[in-house]
Amino acid sequence: MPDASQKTKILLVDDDEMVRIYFRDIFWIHGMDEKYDLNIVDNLKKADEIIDNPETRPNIIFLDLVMPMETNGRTVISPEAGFNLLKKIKSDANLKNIKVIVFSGHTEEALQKEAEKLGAETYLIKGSNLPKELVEFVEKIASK
Amino acid sequence: MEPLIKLTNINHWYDKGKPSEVWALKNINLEVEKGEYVAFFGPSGCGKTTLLYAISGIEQLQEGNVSINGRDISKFSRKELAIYRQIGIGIVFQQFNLIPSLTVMNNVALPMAFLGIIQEKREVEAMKLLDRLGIKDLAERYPFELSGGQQQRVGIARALANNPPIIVADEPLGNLDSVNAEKVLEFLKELNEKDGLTIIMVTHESWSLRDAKKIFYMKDGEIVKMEKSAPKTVAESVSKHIYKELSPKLPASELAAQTLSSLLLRGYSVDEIRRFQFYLLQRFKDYIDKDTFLRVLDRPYKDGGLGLWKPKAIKITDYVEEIIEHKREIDEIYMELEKNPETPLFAEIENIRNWLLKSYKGKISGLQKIQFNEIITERLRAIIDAEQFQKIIGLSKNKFGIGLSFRTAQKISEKMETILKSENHKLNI
Repeated sequence: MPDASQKTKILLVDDDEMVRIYFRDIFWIHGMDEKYDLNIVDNLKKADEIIDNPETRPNIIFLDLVMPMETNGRTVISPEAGFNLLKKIKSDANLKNIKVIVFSGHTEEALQKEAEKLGAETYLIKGSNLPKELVEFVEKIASK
Repeated sequence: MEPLIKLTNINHWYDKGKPSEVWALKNINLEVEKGEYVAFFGPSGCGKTTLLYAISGIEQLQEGNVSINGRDISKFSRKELAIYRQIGIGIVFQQFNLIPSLTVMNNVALPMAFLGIIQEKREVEAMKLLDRLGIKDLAERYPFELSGGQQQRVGIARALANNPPIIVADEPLGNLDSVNAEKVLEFLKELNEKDGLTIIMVTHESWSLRDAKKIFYMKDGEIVKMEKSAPKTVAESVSKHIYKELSPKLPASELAAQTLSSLLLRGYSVDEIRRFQFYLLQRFKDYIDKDTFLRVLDRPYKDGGLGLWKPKAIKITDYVEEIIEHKREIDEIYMELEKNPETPLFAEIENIRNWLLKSYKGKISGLQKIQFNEIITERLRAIIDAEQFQKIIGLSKNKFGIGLSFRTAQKISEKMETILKSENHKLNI
């Protein structure tokens, strides 16, 4: 088994506790922890810390879109939360190679188009894609 | 016979080794038999939820063992632990934890989807569960279109999705009014008695203990007492006064403040309840007067107050004054609040939102409703002022507003201010 430093690093950013539990369980049930190092955070601040640190920087991010974010001293819940992180990654030379998969329950076409425009690999809908498909997708994207 | 769940010498700390260290669980030893209905009872922040998460395999403990059917879960492989979480345990949360962007049907079917069950089968199974909970008609709705009681029934249906033998319920009544709380309790009882499921409930409301066959009383991370069958009636539970048993040496005013704070601030956070308890005690001891108490309740949280909306602050202050004036016994007050509990925060915000939007003819999306709840909470707690409230409603969506017209925003804001200025706690809906 490769040690943690050799494993492909995956980060899940999602403010929903159930999704965080399910996602980790899918990984473990499919034995993906042998090949991938999964990190899970519930907010953008923690995600930024992990992404900004070259030691912990992920290769792949599963990114929820609609999450709480700070703007003008207020906390708002908005898809801009996820989009802002995506923009930051794709506009930074050190980060732009991170593959971002948007992982949202929202099915609106406008959100999907925006994600694509901003450079997301794909847009997966929570609850629509089976674990097997998720796992296959990670395998495919990691080998790119 | 081997117990279904066995906890041995459990100790757990938060921030161990730091100045902020908290000893969250202390020397816990307990057993739960298959098919039992047990409850962990104690005040907010006593470690009940940490214990529940440990049993559920979500929280990894620092010391001690959690055994399920004789197997120590700390020795489970990750795969075994994940399978245990997915099919061994169903969790019901206080805050419902439904995914707002998924329909009721998809929320309930989600645990099945994550196990790889094909869509057709999971829809059939989800529909059976919704039917059993009496909410089949709501299958295509989104969580924000449901009342708190309906959302909690969806939460229970989801917990049952993978047919787990154990249901853990973390303060399942905390955000419900008395009618819906009663329905949830009846359903948990049915799952235990008819389906033979093991039920583990965490609660700080003694009236909800009536169906539990074993009660663990918790205080400051410890189990201080275990009782084998629940008090038969509410009256009996009150006469024994469970909080009094938890803290036999606590002076009357401390006991009253501790008992009443979580009952009066249903649905509020542990930190808010603690702060309220502190000020309530100051008032009981006459260290602060009525007006100061009211001001503290009304003052924004960030400025050291509770940030309650004015009518609620007035109502609670009046209630507290009545207790002080008439030297009312804590048992009597407790019984009264159990019969007619305070409206939980979640339901209050929901009521206000519906009232504000009553005459609005346009369509409001799910995200807009969630945002509305947020700004109502912020306005009630004086985090934003009337002007900001109106501005956010009128701002376009891409500027993090709700995107309604200027005129509508103005009308809604005016209505909101009438609530805040009113001395009457009840809305004229």
